[in-house]
Amino acid sequence: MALVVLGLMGGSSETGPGVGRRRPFTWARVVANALRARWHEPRDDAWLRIQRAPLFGLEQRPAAAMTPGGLLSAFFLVTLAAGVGELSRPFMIAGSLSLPFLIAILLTAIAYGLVPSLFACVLSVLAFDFLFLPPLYSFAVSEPDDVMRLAVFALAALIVSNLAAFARHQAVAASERASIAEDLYALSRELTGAVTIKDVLTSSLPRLQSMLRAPVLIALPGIDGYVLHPSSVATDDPENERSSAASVPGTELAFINSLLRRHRTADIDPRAAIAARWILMPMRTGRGEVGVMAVASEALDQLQVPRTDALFGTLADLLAHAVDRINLVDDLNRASRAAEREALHAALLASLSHDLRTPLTSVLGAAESLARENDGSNNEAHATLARTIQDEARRLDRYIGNLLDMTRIDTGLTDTTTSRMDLTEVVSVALDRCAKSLSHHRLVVDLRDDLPLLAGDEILLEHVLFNLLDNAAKYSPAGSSVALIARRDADHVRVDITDEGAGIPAADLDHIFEKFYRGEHQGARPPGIGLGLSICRGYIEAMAGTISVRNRTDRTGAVFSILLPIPHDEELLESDA
Amino acid sequence: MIAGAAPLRVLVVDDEPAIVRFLRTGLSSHGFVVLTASSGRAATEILEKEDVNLMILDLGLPDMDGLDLIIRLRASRAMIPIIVLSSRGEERSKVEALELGADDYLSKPFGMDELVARVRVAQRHQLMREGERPVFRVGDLTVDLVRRLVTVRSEHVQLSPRQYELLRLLVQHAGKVLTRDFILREVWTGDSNVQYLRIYIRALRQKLELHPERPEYILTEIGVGYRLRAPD
Repeated sequence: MALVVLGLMGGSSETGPGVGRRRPFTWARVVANALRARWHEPRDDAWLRIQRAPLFGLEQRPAAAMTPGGLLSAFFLVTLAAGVGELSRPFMIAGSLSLPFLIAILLTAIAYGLVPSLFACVLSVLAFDFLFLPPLYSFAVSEPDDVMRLAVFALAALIVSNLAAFARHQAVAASERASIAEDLYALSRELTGAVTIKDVLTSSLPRLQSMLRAPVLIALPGIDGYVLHPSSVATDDPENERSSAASVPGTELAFINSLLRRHRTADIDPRAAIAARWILMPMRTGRGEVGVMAVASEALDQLQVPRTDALFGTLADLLAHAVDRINLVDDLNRASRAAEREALHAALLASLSHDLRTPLTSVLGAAESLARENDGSNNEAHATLARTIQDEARRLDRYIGNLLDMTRIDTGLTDTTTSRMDLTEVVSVALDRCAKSLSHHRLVVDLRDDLPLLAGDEILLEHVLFNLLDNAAKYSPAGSSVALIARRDADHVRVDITDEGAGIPAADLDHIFEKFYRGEHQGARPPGIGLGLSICRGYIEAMAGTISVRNRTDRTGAVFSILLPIPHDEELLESDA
Repeated sequence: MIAGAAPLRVLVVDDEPAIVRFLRTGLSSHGFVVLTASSGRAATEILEKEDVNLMILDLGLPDMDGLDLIIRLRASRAMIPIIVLSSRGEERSKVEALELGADDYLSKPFGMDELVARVRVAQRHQLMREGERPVFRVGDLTVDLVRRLVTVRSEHVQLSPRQYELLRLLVQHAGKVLTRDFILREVWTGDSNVQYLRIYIRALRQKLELHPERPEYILTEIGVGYRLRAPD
């Protein structure tokens, strides 16, 4: 009888965490199938779990049905029925004497389920034959009529026991479903109120465990890999790992972690995972996967409801949406905090710029007046001192500017407005601004007429060109040439600024654009280059360009090269507009 | 100073005592009468009561945004020239101030000579507002606005109608900075694009400048617009 197979696989005695063997799922399934055929083998490999197919529309039997109590009660009820039949023998015809037995079978089935009721069936048939069918007090049957009677009785007993057991199972399942529905409702209400991920874990894990009657685990993506939150740890005492180890041992957690790592969860087929000790349900929302819910497969034995995978799916969805909602709120908070911080930075920078430069304006103005007053007079020393104040104030202003610019680049607050710019024009402004420092150099400017308009911020580009030209003047001897050459080169424009100075020491070439890098060979280049070049790089990169430096090969000197992409919708400058 | 005229009355609006002191000393020594206000409210009061010919305005005021003061002043149809003081890195508010009606700007730190030069340009424009000068001369460049003739280094220059319009606009505001948007609105009515402006300026420079990459007449105000050199 196929029904007998049911229930025998129940009972959960995990052999513990010592089983370190990891097998691929497909392999495990093959073994599982093999084991299913040999249903009565005791399982020594704890991490294989056999999935039982439903029979006659029934899910698996509860383990409680197998207790000796059910069988004893069946025996007692059948004995009682026999006694009632014996007592009522004077008032009833022989055929009707089977009725008390049917009642006993019915009661057994309702109270204890299928197996005890089948036991009661067998007992009843034997007792009925022994006590009430002639020859009395013998298992032999004399009349063919009685053989029929016995057969009909046996059939009726079987049907009654099956129907009653089925009704009982339905009733149990119905109440289980009702309690699961209640649990689901309570869970979703709690999850709705959850404000942090911790809330989600503390409210859902104990409920999930009591609901599924098995350890549950929620894996959430962490900095590297998943962070596992087992149901027993998430209660009150997260520090007490020893007590939590009782329900979900550490090696078990390691096993799940390796499982999650090896199979990107999208690839895990929950049905395949059922073959193992844990059922994995990815927690997905419209925005993607937010974690994985794992249920110990004992839940399959404990639960009386059909379609457990649908239930697990629902639970995973509930959790996914709660976690996703909290993640969204977190993202939003982070974004608004970042925006606030940026606004604060920008305001701070603006007021710094104003506060530092306003006194400089007064200093510069006063020095200028002093210099002018003393110029005509014969007080040459005073005029020189006044000029020194002016020059140094200007230098200080540039340093302040550099610091503020660098801070803007670092905080991502560089005020870039992308529009079309004419390189020739930007070069002319830069040349104009450093006319004074370049006055002792021979300047070579070579700009091709076919240069296209570029996309970018002309203020930033002018700043870069000014810095490079100013550096070239500063680091090369008076009377030498400084050249600025711009060429169109395939899909970009290349600007080379070349000097005839000492060049850049090889050790510094790779670091010269780094912040506060001053060069290892202080003698070769005077100080003051700490920020200028890293600002240049920041600005050029903000315009999707690149900046590099190399030493000249034909003679000493440095070449700074800027590459700026030509916009896709470029329109060539018309020579006659 | 223009000989015979009454001294120019300049209102300095700044809350920084050192700057005010420096401006007062510097401007007075050039013969200007200097009035000062340390807040937007004080400035408004002085503008109502006193006769002011020009205003120098720091955009960062304690009680109001300097831009608001410009808006109020222009709304009341007061046409006195306004020169704005700003710091580098405040290009946006600089352009905004010009668009709202400020005449010029100076970036801190600046020298007294620069400031006085800007004041003179602004003052000249104020005086010129009624009638245009028929012939404009700066360096080797001559623009005859009546006969529409342009000569540079004694040679006649042929300009397309739009190139001439652009040059005329610059000549009319010689010495003053013009924002790109202003030029686009004046010369290209309707569909306008900064790209056109760049192309026309480049073409104009190639015809007028000896070294287009080092222009001496049509000067670029980076991030803002253009300025034609003030007549000598």
